[in-house]
Amino acid sequence: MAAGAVVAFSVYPLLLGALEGLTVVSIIVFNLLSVLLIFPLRGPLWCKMLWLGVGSLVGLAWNLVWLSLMSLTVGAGVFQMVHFVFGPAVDFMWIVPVWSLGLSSLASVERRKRGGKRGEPK
Amino acid sequence: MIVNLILSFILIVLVFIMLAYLARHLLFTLTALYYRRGQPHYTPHGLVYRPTLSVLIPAHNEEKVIGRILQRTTELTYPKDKLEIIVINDGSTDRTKEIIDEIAREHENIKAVHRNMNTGGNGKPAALNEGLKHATGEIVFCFDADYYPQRDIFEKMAAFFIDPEVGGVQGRISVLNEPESLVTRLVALERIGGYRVDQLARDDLQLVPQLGGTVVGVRRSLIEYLGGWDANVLAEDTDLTFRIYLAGYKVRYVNEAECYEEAVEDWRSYWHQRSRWAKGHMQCAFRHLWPLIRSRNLQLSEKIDGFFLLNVYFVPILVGLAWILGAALCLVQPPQWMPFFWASISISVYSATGNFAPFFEVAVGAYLDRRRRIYWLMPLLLLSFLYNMLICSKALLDLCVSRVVGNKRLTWRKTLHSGTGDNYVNMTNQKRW
Repeated sequence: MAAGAVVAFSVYPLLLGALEGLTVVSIIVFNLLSVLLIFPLRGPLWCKMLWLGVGSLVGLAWNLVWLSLMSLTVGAGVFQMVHFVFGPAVDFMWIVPVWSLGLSSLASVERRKRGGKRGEPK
Repeated sequence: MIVNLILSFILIVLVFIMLAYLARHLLFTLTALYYRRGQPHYTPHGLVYRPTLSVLIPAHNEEKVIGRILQRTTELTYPKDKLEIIVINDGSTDRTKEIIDEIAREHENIKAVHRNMNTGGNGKPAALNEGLKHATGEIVFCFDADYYPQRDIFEKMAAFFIDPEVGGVQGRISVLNEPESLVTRLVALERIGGYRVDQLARDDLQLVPQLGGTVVGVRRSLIEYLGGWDANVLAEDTDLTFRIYLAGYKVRYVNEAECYEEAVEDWRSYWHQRSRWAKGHMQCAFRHLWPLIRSRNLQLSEKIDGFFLLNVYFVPILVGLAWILGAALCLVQPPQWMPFFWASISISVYSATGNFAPFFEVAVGAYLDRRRRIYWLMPLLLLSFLYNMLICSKALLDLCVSRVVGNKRLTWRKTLHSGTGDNYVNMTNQKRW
């Protein structure tokens, strides 16, 4: 957990100036959820670090796409409008799958490590 | 300018409500992960406590599923001389009556209670009250007709009644027909978040675990003292939970007492079921909020959790309202603090409804259940949450209209079951009804 916290939160000062506000908040939320809920779980550290990195990269890529769209549609206002109306649904569209996939992959790695190849328990 | 300020103020209040709920669920998630340190349950298994039980199974037009649960009750491991099964045929017009009679003839401890079409069909609470008149056991259990319990479920649940403070016990509900459709899979996600994390954490933290309408045990003396189930409430389970707490008793949740349900399979049935739950829950909020605040029988932590629980079906409406307000504010003049507030709405819309479990809570529940693939569906929580925004808004509107026109009695709309759960139960050697 400590390792995750150090990695996750040492990058914020670098990000704050360069990124759009909501992207920074999204990456903070992603990292917080990872550090609080995934890092303390049983499982290899490399897997947790990998998904923390993947999440941050996807967040940055999302920001890039977002900024590009904004710069392309400057003045038109249509994009802004779409952003305001659909924002809450769209802004976290990357966090939920990436974070869930991280947990899923951790569960799979842990399961393989224990040698369990049985069916999924219910 | 003034309008802008007022809108900002309302938005801030709404966002703080959402943040309070999110913080509550983060606490539940952390509790479910770390409180028991990997130990799956705490049931006092070493304890031999075997009170007499009466199991009530109300059934209104349940020909497709009633045979399955009755057959299952004959396979339970609880001592037969301490277990009576009371099936209430609630004015059915299909083959339910014949199936019940046929099985009751073969098994001594299964009693059939028939209500005719004039007196029956008025909803589950009325049928349960009818069954209660025939019950003789110390503890009364309720099961819906589409459920399929573990064989030793009563040993696990009844053991908790050795504590005289315990008035009710709730078992875990899992979805039997999960692979059937997208809706059943999403319901399975909701159940995982709701039971594996939410209820378990509330039990661990000694807050207010909620009685569902099924897989529930209550002391007969207590339910009789409380006057039975209230037939005027659509969520008789939530109503009973709060009446038990207000009477000075506690409710316990038993995670390892598992029972499988046949979940609704299409969006239409989902709408009807959730609409009933939402209206019933809102009714309970109007009814119990003030007594809860004033009660001397509950600790402060229980009151706070009870407050959150009672208002949970208003949350999708508030989230929708915050979304609209936020978008309007952004269009007029985006405030600087907006990204932080926007994020809370974003997390909230990826939640399961019923208990408002955010996606991380549901995912952690799946992890604790050692699931592997169900995580892929997590983004689709957005879909069901948006649908529930409409359901809850319509439910609130209906309640307000019925209050204005003076019609306080709401009609009970039964959930239809297709019987597809049979495909997921090992019934190869059993008769299909």
